[in-house]
Order: sequence, then C-alpha cells, then structure tokens
Amino acid sequence: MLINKPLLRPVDVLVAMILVVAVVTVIPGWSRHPQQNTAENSSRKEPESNQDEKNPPEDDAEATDEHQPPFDPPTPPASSERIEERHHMVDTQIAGASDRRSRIRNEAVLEAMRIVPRHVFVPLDMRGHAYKDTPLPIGEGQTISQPYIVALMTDLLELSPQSKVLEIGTGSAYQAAVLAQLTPHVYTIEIIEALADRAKQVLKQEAYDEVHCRHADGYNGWEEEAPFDAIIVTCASGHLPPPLWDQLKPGGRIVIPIGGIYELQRLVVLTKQKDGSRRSRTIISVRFVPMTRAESP
Amino acid sequence: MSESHSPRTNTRLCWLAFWVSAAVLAFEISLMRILLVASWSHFAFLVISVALLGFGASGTALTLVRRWAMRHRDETLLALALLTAVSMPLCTTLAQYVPVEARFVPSMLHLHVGTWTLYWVLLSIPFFLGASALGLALMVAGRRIASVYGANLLGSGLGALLAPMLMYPLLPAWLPSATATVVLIGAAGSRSSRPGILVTALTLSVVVIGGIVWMEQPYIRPDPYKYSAYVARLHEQGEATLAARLHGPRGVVEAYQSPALHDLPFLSVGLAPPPVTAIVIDGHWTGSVLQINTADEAEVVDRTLMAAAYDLAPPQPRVALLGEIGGMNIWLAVRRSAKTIEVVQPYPTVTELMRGPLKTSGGAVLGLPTVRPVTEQPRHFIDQSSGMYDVIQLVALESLAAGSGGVGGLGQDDLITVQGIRACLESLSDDGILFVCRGIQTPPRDNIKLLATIIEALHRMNVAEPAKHVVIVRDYLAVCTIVRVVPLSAEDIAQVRMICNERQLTPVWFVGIRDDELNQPDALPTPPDGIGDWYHFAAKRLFSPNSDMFINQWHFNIRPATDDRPFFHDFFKLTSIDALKEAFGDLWVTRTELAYLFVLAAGAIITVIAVILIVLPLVFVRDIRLSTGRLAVFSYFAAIGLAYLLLEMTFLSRLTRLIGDPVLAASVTIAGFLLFSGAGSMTVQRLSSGQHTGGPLASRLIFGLAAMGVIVLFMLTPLAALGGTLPLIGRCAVAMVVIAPVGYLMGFPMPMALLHLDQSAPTAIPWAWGINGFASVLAAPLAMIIGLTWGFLSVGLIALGLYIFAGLVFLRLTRRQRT
Repeated sequence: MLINKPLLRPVDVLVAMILVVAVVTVIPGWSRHPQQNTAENSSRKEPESNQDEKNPPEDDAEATDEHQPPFDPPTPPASSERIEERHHMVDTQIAGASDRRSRIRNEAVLEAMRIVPRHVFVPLDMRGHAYKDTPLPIGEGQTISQPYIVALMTDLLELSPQSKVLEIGTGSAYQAAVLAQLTPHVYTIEIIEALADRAKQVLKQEAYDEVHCRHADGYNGWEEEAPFDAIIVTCASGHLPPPLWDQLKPGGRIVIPIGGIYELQRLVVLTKQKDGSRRSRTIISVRFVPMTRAESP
Repeated sequence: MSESHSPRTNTRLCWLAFWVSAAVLAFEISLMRILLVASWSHFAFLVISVALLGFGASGTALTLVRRWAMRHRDETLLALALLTAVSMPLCTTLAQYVPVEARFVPSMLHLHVGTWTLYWVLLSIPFFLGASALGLALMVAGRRIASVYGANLLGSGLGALLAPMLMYPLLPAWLPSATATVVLIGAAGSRSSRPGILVTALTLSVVVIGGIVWMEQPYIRPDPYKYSAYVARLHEQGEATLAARLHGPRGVVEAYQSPALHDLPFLSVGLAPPPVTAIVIDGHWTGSVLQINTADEAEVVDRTLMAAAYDLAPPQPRVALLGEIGGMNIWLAVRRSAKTIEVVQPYPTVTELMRGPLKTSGGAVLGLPTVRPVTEQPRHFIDQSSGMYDVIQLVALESLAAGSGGVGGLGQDDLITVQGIRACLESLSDDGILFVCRGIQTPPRDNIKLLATIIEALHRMNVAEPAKHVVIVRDYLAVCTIVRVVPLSAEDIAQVRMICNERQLTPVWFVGIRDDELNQPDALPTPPDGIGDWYHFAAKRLFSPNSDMFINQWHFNIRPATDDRPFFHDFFKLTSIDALKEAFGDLWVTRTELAYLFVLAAGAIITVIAVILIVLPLVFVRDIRLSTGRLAVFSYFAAIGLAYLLLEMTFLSRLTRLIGDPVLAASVTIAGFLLFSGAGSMTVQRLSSGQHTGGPLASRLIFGLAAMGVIVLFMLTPLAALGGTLPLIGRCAVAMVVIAPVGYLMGFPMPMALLHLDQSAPTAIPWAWGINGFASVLAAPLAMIIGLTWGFLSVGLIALGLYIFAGLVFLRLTRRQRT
C-alpha cells in the first residue's frame, strides 16, 4: 500500500540533488549571482549595505514563466549586414575591452549587441563610424551612445523576457532595439518630435513591431502602462523624476545618469525596496549631452 | 628714415587709426560675447585667441607687400579700413553657417580640422584687415609714428568703453554691424585727398553691410548641445514659450516656460515639483523660478538636500543666500521661518525679470516682506557686510553652468577662496552655519577641494581642530558640507544622526562617525581600505596633519583656491594625464575639466603659427634677413607685447575685487590702461621732437616703469580691501588712479622703439608690429596658465621682469647703433 511506503527514499533525494546540481551547472548563467553580470570596476569592493539591492526584481518571474509564450527575439533585416564589424565591436569594446573598463559578461546582452544593426540607427554620413568605440551625433543636438554604454545600461537593468521596461529618451532608437532583443515589453518616449518620428520609422523598418514609441515628455513617464520592472533614462538629470519612481514596481530598478548637464555625470542604479525606500549604487562616471543619450564610461 | 608728411596727412592717419582701433577692440569684446552666447566659454576662449592671430599675421603680410602698399598707401589704407567694416558682420554671419563640432572634436578630430580651420580663418579676417590698416598707418607715419600709435591706443580705450555701452541697447547679434558703423564714421571723417573715391567706397560699404543685415536678420545660432538650443527646439514644437528676454553687458537673460522643463537641483525622490520657469543666461540654465505664490505651495523644497542643513540652524534664522537665482532657496528659507533673507546675485537683469515679466508667475518671491534682494557680486557683498547671519548658503556653487560673464569664462570665482570662505565664516553668529550643496562627481574632486578650502580658512581663523566644526552628509545626488564657527556638540551630532535617518541621507563626516554608518543607503565606489566612500576617505586625510601630502597625491587639483589663484573650478593636473589615460582610455580628455587643456592648446597653436609667420619675413625680406639687430628687435617687441597684457591681466584680477563687478572691472581696467598708455605715447611724440628719446633715457623710463609696477602691484590687495567700502563710482575712480601712473609709462616702450626703427630700419616696422601683435595674443593664454599654476602675483612679477629685460635690450640696441 502506498500508505506504507515512504514518499521519498534517501536514494531518491540523492538523485534529485544530483539532478539539480547538474541543471544549475549546465544551464549558463543560472549559477551566477545577478550582480556578477554587471560591469563594475574590478577594484571596487561592494559594501555590505547594498546586499538587498543585489537581489533581482521581485516580480515573481518564475510564476509567470509557465503562462508566457516563449520569447522569440526579432530578427531585423539589416542584421545580415556588417556582421563581422558588430562581432568585432562586441569582442573588443564590450566583452573584452583592453582598457580598465569592466567587461560585460551577460551573454543575452552580448547577443543583442551582436544582432542589432547599429549602422541603420545613425545618420548616413556617420555610418562608417557606427561600430567605433565612440558616441556619434544624430542631429537635433542629440547623440547615439557609445556601444559599451548601451550594453552596460542594458546589463544593469537585469531584464528577463517577462520584464516590462520603459526607456526615457528614444533618440536614435538603438537602445530600444537592443532592449527589444531581451524582452517584448519595451516602451520608449522621446520629447523631440523629429526624433520620435524618425525612431518610429526605423523601428518599423527593422521589424521591431512590439516596441511602443511615443512623442511625449519622458519626465512624466507612461502612466497608462505602469508599473514597470525597469526604467532606463538616457538623459542627464539633476534629479530622479518623481513620476518615474512612482511608476516603478517594488523591487524594480532605474538606471539613470545623474548630474549637471555640463559636467561629468554618474551612472546610478536606484532600487525600490519593498517598503518603498530607496537604495542606490553609483556605477561609473559618464558624460551625457544635455537631455540626451549617454557617451562613455 | 621714412619721409615726413604734411600735418593734414598726419591728422588723417591719427583719425583713421583712432576709429579703426576703437572698432576692432569693440568688435573683439563683442565677438567674445557672441561666442559665449553661441558656444561654450572655453571654446570661446580658444576661438577668440586664435582669431586674434589676425593681428600678428597682418604684420607679416605688410612686411611681404611693403613696397606695393607704400606706393598705393592712400587707396590701400581706405580699402583696408572699409573692408574691416564690411568683414565684421559678414564674417560673423558666415561663421555661423560653418558646422563646427565642439563636442566630438577630441574623439573625431580628423573629421573637423577643415571646418575648424575655416571657422578660425573667417573670424580672423576682421582682425587681420583692421590690424593691417593700423600697421600701414604706422608705416606711413614716419616721424609721427608715436602719435599714430598713441591714437591707436586711445581709440582702443574708447572701444573698450564703447562695447559694453553698445550691449545695453543691442542684442549680441547686432554688435558686429554696430562696430562696423564705427569704422564707417571714421572713414567718412577722414578728409581723403580723393573725395570721389571715398564717397563711392563708403556708399558701397554701407550697401553691403545693409544687405547683410537685410538678408540675414542678425541672429545667433546656439551650439546644438546647449540648453538654449534644447528649449528653442521645444519652442519650435510649440511646447515652450519665451516669457521674457533682457540683455546687457553681463549677458542675455531669457525666461522660458514649458510643462517640459523640470530643472530643480538636488530634489530627492518623492514629490513632483510645480511648474517652473527656467532662467537661461547666455544659453546656460542658471536657475528655476517655481511658479507658485505662497510658501505652502513650496513643499517640494523640503525634499531637497539643502533643507537638511536648516535642521542644524538656529530657529528663525537670519539668512544670506549668496548667488541665488530663481528663488527655490528663498522659499526654503521662508518655510523655515527666516527672520530676514538677503538674496545676493550679480545680475540686475535677473532682478528686473523677476519683478517685471515674471512677477505673477513666481517672481513675487523677491517682494516678500522678509526678503531683501541685493544686486551685487556675492564676494563684494560679504566683504563689505557688517551684518551677522545665522545661515549663509553658498548657492552659487549649486549652479552647474560654466561662468557666464566674459571675463569669468575660465571659471574664476572670488567667493570660493580661502579668503572668501573666511569672510563668510566671520559673518556668522556663534551658532550660525555656513553650508553648500554640490553635486557628486566621480572621480571626486570639487567637494574635496571645497573642504580643503574650508579647512584652510578655519586654520587661518586659528581654529585648532577644524574636524569638530564640520558636518558632511549626502544623498545619491549631492554632498552637503556644513560648517560652524564653534565646535559641534554631542547633541548636534545626535541631531545629525537623526536627520540622516529621517531623510535617508548618507553620513560622510562628523566627529565620532562610525564605519558602519558610512556609504548607505546610497553607495558610492569604495576606496582600497574598504571603509565608506572616497569623500570620507578624503575628509579623514584632509583633517589629518599630513593633509598637504594627500593634496599633492590626489590625481586632481584639490589645493585650496585663494584670492591670488581664484580658480576653484580648475581641477586638472598635468601630472595626472597618465593615470587618467589608464583609467579612461582614449576618452580621458572628456573625463577632466577642459579649461586648462584648452588654454594650453590655444598657447601651443598660437606659438606654432607665430613661429611660422615671424620666420617668414626673415626668409623673404632681404633687409630684415641681413639686419644685424633682428634678434634684439624680436626680443624687445615680444617682451613688451607679453609684458603689457600680462600686467593688464594681473591688474584686472586685483581690480575685480576692488570694483566688485567683473564686467565693469574689465571695462575700467582695459580702457584705463589703453587711454593712459595712449597719453604716454603722445608724450613720446612730443619728446621725440626734442630728440629726448635716446637709449639711456628710454631705458631709464622702462626701469622706472618696472619699479613703479612692483610698488603698485603690492599695493593692489590692501587697496582693494580699503577701497571696497566706497560707492561704485569712487571704486572706479580709485582703480583709474592706480592704473594711471603705470599705464602712462607703459605707453612709452612701443613708440620709442618704433621711432628708433624708423630711423635705423624702417622695413622692420611691420615685422615688429606683427611680433608685438603675436606676443599680445600669446599673453592671454600665458597669463591664464601662469595664474592657474602659480597665481596672479607671479603673472605681474613676470611682466615686470620682461619690462626690465626689454629695457636692457633697448639699451644694447641703441648703443650698437651709436657705435
């Protein structure tokens, strides 16, 4: 009778344990603490006080896994062009930079950077420089960020395919396209009308149909679609816009360059704790053009 | 020796030289103002320096075409003068169409060499033409050369006064047309020997200038990355309105309103601010006016870092806000029941704006019964203030914009010096506080330099343990440094801990701080010892007896700023380039303050071009090539060119303290030097008729100048302190009295040597003119480099040393001629 049999024999427990260890070891990334994916100065010691912040967003992602269809990242038509340059960019500037900047190890982010055809997001006269280790002007007094910064900010968001992410400052739409390789729930806002129109056009052309782009003031966020698991701000700001904080889920994170628009800024990750309080961590110094996109570490 | 001319010709030369000089100097100041509005202050400094190379290049060009120019002297002189007039609005307008890229130059230099060169050449043309006219006038003048040179100086003096006066009625974009009109007036009154040609040429010039103004309504296109360009874009989209625009010599002040403007410094997470009006000065955001009318509506200011400082202040404090523009900190003081609030800022146009167009949308805050607006330089205010305050807030350091005033372009700040901080501390009541909030920077430097400056000020007040007088707290945005004249008590420290807890602030420094209190909830990179953040690391060392060693070792310049070296915003260290390269790779240039590098670049470019253009005449002009005294000529004219400007800039630095207004001080100093020097040159002309300008006398005069310079130089600082109490007109008069004897004697060396050349080697006159021009241009970046490195006293002493050197060279030159 079943009732007389123990539910689990010691050997079953042992087999189960071996299986768990095997799965954890084989599946890339599972065994790594999320913090290991962020690019930090290798010499920097993380203070203990920030341990809470290192936990991933508490949005019960595993529970929703079963109900979500598998995510199939978009394949932009232009991704078949200049593949070698993109791979070289990832290998030499992001995954294996030769200077002191920390390497990005998040394979999903690296793969997104390998796929998104950066050259179609920059003006025609700048396309020759699209894969160089530098930001570029895109007109309207705006820039497209240095590839490393795009990868770093994406990595710091710690996205999963279920994450709902809001981007403030669409600009060239390159950052939005990279985000769209990691999650289908991308919302992006651009205040400059000409740029918003251009962004919608290029996103459509490159088959990023699920990226939602609107022309509005990003300071107010996107209330109708809130709350968000992650928010990425690509304009230098003297303070964190309160509406964005309100639209962030508890456990969610905001990546934002903080500082004066004429000075060096800091890339800051702010995490909203369960009780609504704030934790923040400065990552690196960056230099943003006023109200626009990031430049470099 | 050159031929002599009729008195009528000499008068005409003097007249033309006077007006062309006035216009060129007024144009130079106007261009500086235009570039500050259109571009960035450091960029403007570089461009103006290089544009002025036109002065030096004119000497070289005249040397090469000397014979032809002398044959057609009348026509050439008139043509050069009129072309100078036409080129002023034309080249300024054309330059705005050149797509210069100020932002990406460090990383993509090769793409921008062509556009930058074109930009510089265009801006150089008016200087080149104007200086060529002046150089030709000197060549033609013969024995009257000293009076023509004197007219040039007097005209320049007028130009220095004229430019700021023109800035009252005219927007900067219209200034080139106005300065062009000055040349046309000069040409019209020049009593040409060929009136028909003069009338035709004048008419043509007027038509061309009128055409430029008609076709291209004068307008300044701002750099696309400036704040003004951003709001202009919102304006085009119909999302922003220009509420008001006022202008004057201190800059163009604009007020923009838009729901999309949210600039409010150091607002922590929480409450959204009410609508704001952005105050934009010369294209930079300088402050925000909250569009509210009562203190109840200003709740948002309680969520700023600045609010935390008031928790340590006495109740109902007497408050001085030094550098407040906009009113946010006024509302904070009002909400803290301040008994009196003195709001000190230097822009009369801002006060006018708040009391006028913005009165119903937040500007009324200046009219509150406890508020007293003061339009004055904060340092001058605090130096002269007899009041005692419970709270002094250095708001000026919260503004993140670069220096807006023309002469403040390289970030000179008289308030944030050891002497300035000490003056603030001495104006505090016993339990009063001085505080300043300043954004966090990585790598840290400015808040550390501020602390070093405060500690030095406390030391000079004989405070034994400055560590007990300072509290530093921060959040994720900024650092707040609070200072008391009396040591903080145990109750105060308990209060600080409570403030940090309630406001989610991170403690950085107070006596008795524990390691476990540091770097949370807002974590910054941790130093190698693993304790706290770098700010705590720096504070511990700055309070230690070995602070000098720490200051020397830090990769940025955190040495306390002083009145002699008032460059608080200069953090760059040449010796740190390797470390910066290692940390930031090829983009290290964008990770440090560019001012020093820009000045160095300007100096290097000017030197290279100068060497090429000064050597050219040696190759092509036989008389100069074979001349035995060419090295002496070069040394003499270079030395006096450098010395004149170096001494002038030293005086400017000191007299700014006396007069208390950088723009007015610049006008008084430049005009004073030029006018008195002009008088000196005219004296040389009179002496020359009696043959009194021989070598020994000339050298004695130069040595006398050096001796007088030393005396006056050391008198300037105490004089600035004593004269500061006088009314403005009295302070300007004292400045003129100080300048008079030195400026008068400084008018002697150049015309004496030109007279000497006219007798011995007239072909070298334009060459000498060019050398002097180059040296004058080089002196501007050189003075800044020396001032940044060793202070302005050193600049002045070097200038006087150069005059002594010039005196010795002149003695040798004249002795050789006699033998």
